[in-house]
Amino acid sequence: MIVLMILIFLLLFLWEAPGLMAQEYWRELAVFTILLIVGLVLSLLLLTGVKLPYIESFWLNLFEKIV
Amino acid sequence: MADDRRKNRIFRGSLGLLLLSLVLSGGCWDRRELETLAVVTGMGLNYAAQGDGYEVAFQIVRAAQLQSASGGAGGGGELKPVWILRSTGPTVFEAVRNATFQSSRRLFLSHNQVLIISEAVAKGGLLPALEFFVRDHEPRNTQWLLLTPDEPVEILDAAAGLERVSALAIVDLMKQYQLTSKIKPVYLADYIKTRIEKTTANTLPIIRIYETAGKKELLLDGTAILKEDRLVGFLDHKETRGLLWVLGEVRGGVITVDLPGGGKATFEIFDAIPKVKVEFKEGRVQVKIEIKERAGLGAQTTYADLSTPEQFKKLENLQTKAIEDEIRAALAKAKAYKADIFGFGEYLYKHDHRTWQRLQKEWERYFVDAQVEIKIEAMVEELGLVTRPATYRELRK
Amino acid sequence: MDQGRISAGQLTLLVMSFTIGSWIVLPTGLQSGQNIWLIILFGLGGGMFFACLGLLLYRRFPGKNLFEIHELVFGPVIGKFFSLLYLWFFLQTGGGTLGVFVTMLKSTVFTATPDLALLVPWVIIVIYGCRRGIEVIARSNQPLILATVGLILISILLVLNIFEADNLLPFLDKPFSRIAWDALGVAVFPFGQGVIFMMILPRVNRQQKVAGAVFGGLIGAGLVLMIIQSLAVGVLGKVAEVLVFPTYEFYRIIDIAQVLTRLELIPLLNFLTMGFIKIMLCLYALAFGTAQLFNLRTYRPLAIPIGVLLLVVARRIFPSVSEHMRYFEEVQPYYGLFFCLVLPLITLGTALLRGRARREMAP
Repeated sequence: MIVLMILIFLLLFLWEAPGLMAQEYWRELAVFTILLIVGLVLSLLLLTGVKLPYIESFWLNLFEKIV
Repeated sequence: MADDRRKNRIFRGSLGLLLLSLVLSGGCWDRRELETLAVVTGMGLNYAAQGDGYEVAFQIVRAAQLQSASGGAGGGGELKPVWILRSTGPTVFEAVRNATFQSSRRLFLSHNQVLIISEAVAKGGLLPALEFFVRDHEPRNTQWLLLTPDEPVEILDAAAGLERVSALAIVDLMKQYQLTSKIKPVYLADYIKTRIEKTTANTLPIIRIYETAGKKELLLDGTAILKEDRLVGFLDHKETRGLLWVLGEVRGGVITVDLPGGGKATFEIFDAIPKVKVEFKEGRVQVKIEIKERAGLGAQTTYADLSTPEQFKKLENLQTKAIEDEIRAALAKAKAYKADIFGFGEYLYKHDHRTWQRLQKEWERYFVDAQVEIKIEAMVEELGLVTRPATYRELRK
Repeated sequence: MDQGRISAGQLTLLVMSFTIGSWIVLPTGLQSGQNIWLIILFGLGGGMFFACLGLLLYRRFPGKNLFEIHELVFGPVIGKFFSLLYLWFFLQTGGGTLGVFVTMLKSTVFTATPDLALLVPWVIIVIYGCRRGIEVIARSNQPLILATVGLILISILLVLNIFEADNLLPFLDKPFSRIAWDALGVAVFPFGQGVIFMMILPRVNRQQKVAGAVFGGLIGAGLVLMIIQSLAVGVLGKVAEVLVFPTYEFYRIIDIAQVLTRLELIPLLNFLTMGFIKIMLCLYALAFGTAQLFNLRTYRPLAIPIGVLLLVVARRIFPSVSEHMRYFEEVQPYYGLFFCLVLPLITLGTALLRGRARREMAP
C-alpha cells in the first residue's frame, strides 16, 4: 500500500513537472513539489494509522481549555 | 475569432466538468439486485420468550408466487405468497440481523409497510423497540404502526381476505379508514412526533385475529392509548371517532341516531371542520370545540317522512347530540386515563407558550380539570335518491 | 494567473451556491426548532453585515483581492501572515464540506462504500474544475443552481398535503440569548464563509455591479434556505430536532397518491451539486491564494497538491457527526467571527488610519 501511495504521488509529480520545467517555472515547481511532499507525508501517516488530531476536535479541546 | 475560440473552450470545459461529475460521482458498494433480496412487507415486534430481548417477526413476499395465477393445478407444491420468519436478539437491530441465520437472502426493510407491536412491548415502553426503525437508513418513517393483543406473528400469517399478503391488506384497511372514521391510523413518523411533544398522549389502532369459517382473519378493533410511551387504556370505536372529531380527521363515515317516535336514522358524514381553542382562565383550562359538520340522510327505519324542513331541523339537532355524545365519551375516557390524546396541551404550547411553560409540569392535573365546551353545527344536506319511504300518502288539498 | 472574467450575474449565482453549500443538509441552529426561519433571517442580516465590511474594504482597494489588500495594508510580512490565516480558514471550510459530504452519503445511501471511493473521484473533478479557471466554475454552476432552486420550488408543491403550518408555532418560545446565539451561528456559517469571495471579486467584469451581485446572492440563498427549512419543520414538526439530516428525512415522507414517493434523491442531488461548487471554490481560492503568497505566475499546478491536502483534511476533520455538531454549536461562532468580523475590521481600521496618515504627509 505504501509503495502504491508513493507511486501515485510520483505519477502526480510526473504529470505536472515536465510542463513546468519546459516553461522554466522554477518557483512554481518548487512550491508544487513541497506541497506534494506535505500531502504525501500526511497521506502516509494516515495510511500507517498514525493518529493525526481531528481538526474540529482540536478546536473544541482548545476552546474548552480557554473557557 | 480568438474570443470565439476561447468561449468555445470554456463551454467545452464546463460541459466536460458536468459530464465528469456524472460519471465519477458513483460507486455503490452495497448494490443488490432484486433476486438477492428478501423484501420485507410487514414486521412484528414482541419480547423474546426467554431472556430479555426482542422477538421480531418478518413477513417476506415471494415475488414469484405473487405473479403466478392463484390456485393453479400446475406446479407441484404451491407455496404461500408470503414467508413468515421469526428471530430473536437483545435489540431489534440484532434480531433483524439474526434473521440471516434462516434467510438465504439479506432482508431488505425499505419496503416494509406495517409494524405490528404486541401489547407486552407497548406496556414496557415502545420507543426502545421503535428506535431502530428511525435510526437505520433503510426503513421508512411512513410505516403504519398497529397494536395487537395477539401474537404479532399470527397477524402477519393470517388470511388476508381478498389480498394475498396480509401486510398489504392492513395498509388498505388503514387507507380506507375514512369510510367509518372510527380508526385512527398512525404512521411511525406521527408516533415519534407526538412522543417528542411533552404533554400529548399517543394512540395506536388495535388489530386482532378472529376466526371465521375455520380461517383466521384480521379485524380492526378500537384504539389503544399510550401515555408516555406505555399502554394505559383503550378506546372503542365510538370513542375513537370522538377523538377524530376534535382532531379534524373525520373525513366520512356514518352516524346513527334514535328518532323520537321510535326507529332509527343513519346519516352519511361528508366532512367535518373543527375549530379548537384552548385558554387558561380563572385557574382552569378552558377548551372550546366548535365543529361544522355536513351530512346526508343515508337510511331510515321508520315510515315517517323525514324530508320536510321541520324534520331536517330535528334531525340536525339529533345529530348534534350524537356527535357531542361521542366527543364526551372520548373525553371522559381520556380524563379517566389522564392522557391528553387531543393535544390540548400542544395547542396551548403553540399559541400561548408562556402559560404552557407554567402548566406543563402539572399538565395531567390541569387536563383532568379542564372545562370543555362543545358547540356543534350539523347540517343535513342531502336525501339520497328518494324523498320519503315508499308509502302511500294522501294528496294534500 | 487566471485571466478569466465572470459577469455580475454569475457572481450572484456563485454566492448562492456557495452559501447553500453543505448547510442545506446539515443545518445548524436546529435547537431553535420551529423558529429556524427566523434564525436564518437574522443570520442573513449578520451575513449582509459581514459582506458590507468586505465590500467596504474592497472599495478602498478596487481590483485587488484579499491577499493583495493584506500586503498593501500591512506590508509583505504581516500581510502574508494574515493571508496564511485565511488559507487555513479556506482549507478547513473546504475540507469540512468534503467531510460532511462523505458522512451524509455514508449514512444514507452508500452505507457500505469505502470513504476513499467517494472522496477520490470527487476530488479529481474538483481539481479538474479548479484548473479550468473561474469562468468554467461559474458556467458549470449555472445549470446546477437552476436545478437546485427548481427542485426546491417543486418541493413546495410536493409537500402541500403533509405540510402543517401549525408546526411553525409557537413564535419565539426560546429565550432571546438562545435565538441570538443560533442566529450568530448561521451568520458565520454559511453566510459568513462568503468571505472567500474576496478572492474572486476582482474577476468580475463590471466592477460597479459587484456589491449588488453579492447582496443578491446572499438574499437568494437565504430565501432558498428559509423555504427548505420551513418545509422540513412544517412536515416533521418537532421530529426535526432529533434528526441528523432533517431535509433529507422530510423528502422520505412525501407520498402523493403512492406515485411520487421516495424522493430522497432530491436533497441528495441538491447537496451534491451545491457542495461540489462550494468545494471547488474553496480549492480555487486556496490554489490562487497560495500562488499569490509565493509570487507565482500561475496557480494551476497547485490544484493537485492542494486537492490532496483537502482530501487529507476531509479525512481528519471530525471523528463523528455528533462531534461535528458540537463543534458548530460551541466553537464555530467564535471561530467564524474571527475570520469574517475581527480580521476584516483590523484590516479596514489599519487601512483607514494609514490612508489618513498618508494624506497628512502629502501636502
